[in-house]
Amino acid sequence: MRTVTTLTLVSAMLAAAVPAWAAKTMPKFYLQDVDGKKRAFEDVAAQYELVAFVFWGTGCAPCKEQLIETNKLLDEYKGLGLVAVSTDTARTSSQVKSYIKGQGYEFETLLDVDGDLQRGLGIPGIPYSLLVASDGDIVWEHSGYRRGDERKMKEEIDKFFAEREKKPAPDEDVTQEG
Amino acid sequence: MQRVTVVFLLTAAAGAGAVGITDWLHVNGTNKAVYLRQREDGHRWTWDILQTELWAWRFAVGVEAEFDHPRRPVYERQFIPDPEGNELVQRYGRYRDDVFDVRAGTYDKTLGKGLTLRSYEDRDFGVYQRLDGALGDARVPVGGREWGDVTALWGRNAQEKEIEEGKPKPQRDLAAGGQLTVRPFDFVYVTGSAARAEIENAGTKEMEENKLYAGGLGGGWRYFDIYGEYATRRSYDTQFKEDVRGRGFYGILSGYLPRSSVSVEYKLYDNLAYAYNNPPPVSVDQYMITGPTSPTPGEWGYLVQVSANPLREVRLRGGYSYADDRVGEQKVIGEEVEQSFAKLRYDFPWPVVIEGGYEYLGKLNIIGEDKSGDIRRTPSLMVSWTPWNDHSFSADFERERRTDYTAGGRTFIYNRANAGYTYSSWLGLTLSYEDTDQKTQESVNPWEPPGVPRVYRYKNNWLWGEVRITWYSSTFQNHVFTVGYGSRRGGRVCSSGVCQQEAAFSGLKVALESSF
Repeated sequence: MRTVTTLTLVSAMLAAAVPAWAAKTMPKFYLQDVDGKKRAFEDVAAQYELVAFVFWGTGCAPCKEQLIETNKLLDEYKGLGLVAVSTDTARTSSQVKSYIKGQGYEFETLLDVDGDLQRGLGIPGIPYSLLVASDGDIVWEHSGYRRGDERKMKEEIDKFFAEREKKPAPDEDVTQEG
Repeated sequence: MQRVTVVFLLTAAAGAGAVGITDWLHVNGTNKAVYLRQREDGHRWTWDILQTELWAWRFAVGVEAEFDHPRRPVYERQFIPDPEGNELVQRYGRYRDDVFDVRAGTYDKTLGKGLTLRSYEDRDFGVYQRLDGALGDARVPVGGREWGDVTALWGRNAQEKEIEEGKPKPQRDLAAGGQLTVRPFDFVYVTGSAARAEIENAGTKEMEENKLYAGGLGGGWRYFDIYGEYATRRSYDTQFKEDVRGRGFYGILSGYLPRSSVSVEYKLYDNLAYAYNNPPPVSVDQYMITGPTSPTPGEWGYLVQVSANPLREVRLRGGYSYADDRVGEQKVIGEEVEQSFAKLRYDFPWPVVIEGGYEYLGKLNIIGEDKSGDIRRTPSLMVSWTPWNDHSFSADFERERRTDYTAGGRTFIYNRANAGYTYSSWLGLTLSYEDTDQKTQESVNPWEPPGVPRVYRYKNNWLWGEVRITWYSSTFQNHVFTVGYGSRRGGRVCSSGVCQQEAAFSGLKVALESSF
């Protein structure tokens, strides 16, 4: 009991104490997509400014709800990508592509069959969602999904793009100085 | 224990201190602590799991530590008896660049579809088949195109131990294998895998040596995908001086039209399974029609599944599967499982969603005139409503009608209802109620996995209330605090938006999950 209490307190304090500028970063990964090709974070990040990662499984009802709602956000933001990371094992991963295609989704789907990325992020259960900037910084994360949670994700996306707009692009800086 | 705490503190402190100063040093992790207090006798359990990974440039170290006080009974077969509790620690080191990914320490890996080797852990079912050793993956990217990849691994069982004269002794289970996948064209790939595993027969010095080989061919085009894998097994048991041969085939064919798909899976396994490979069963909606450690010598089954989104507001899913036990290609007396389901979901313009479903699951064991097992028919309804921004309500109800042949063909009813409210994604309230007219065996110990008999009592209604608060302490850290009280029947439970296998329990539950 003492051990658990100590660990809980220490981890909570550490997590609260980490300053805002100390960005949590997406770990390196190579995962298969549903067509069997290996994909790295860099491959995905090259196409978008911000990527929503949703960890889900074919047997998880709230996860499927979350995919429906998060997919709707893609129409609203041009620079937003969505990657659905399936936590299905070898037993059920065969059904992932069929489900995704059948539901009319066009977002990228990766298979974390051996739990590699889940372990790298310390994900305790599904559904789990992250917003990751193209430089790898995790700007927001959320555990679980209840109807309405997508609004919080939308707020964070708005905040991210608003801050991006305020910041001058690096080449603009050079032009001004020049 | 002290060693683990030190590792954790150093890792977390290094991460907290160094991240942001440099762009090549990062730490991620989660700590989840759970406290349970049994209502009737005041008995207490605590459980803590810590996962953390520290990256420095292309190198990483990871720790996964789990502490149980007192010891979870599920470990009795596999771990050192310790009245003070269990302290399980898994560690690994890793290097990764654009071509190579090399790991040393504890890892999971599936070769092909798992017909030759699958090292994994499933705490819910008491499966601990992770390997301690080395694993290497390499991609072959040439001229901007990926031509394939290659995997090699070697390892011993990470946790399996036996007791000999009161002292724990690591078992000698050993696995080694590899896989090669080649993509000569974008639309076709060929894969081959081989594994050799030495399994120590429990309580003896005897070994079972397994050699498995599998080859697979897959491909796809815009409207379809196809994959098939054939495997053979040869095993030699030094205790019984027995040579066993097995084989297996797994295949899947999927067809796609705009916004709809159909898939058909097929399997035939004859003496293929051993401790480190659990071939994929065909399954519908996550019900596994063969268990993860099924002792049956052979299985045959197929699955047909459809998924469609014909209109923006309408989503449909349905499926049917059948499987039975086999020896060779002949059906034998034993369990046969039949399952089907259909679900329809509609998004109304006012923010209301309604989903209706029906499931049928029959698990029967037929011996002559006698029949055991049960048949379950379950209609369900889910409604959710978001009347204002920040406020969401949801409710679901299902009524399971179970004909139990083990109880002489009697029919019982199980009712389940959940109601939930969410405010602005940080506050969640859940109330769950279940009842049945069947007197059900309920495990007293909350950590027992389903199906492990220990101490039982009888109960036929359950009420559980839960409050969940999510706190975002800065731009990204996420703390989830949960308090629940009441009783729950156990099984696969989706509560507060998180699905997991829960054991039966009555009393108080407090949990804190922190990510850093």
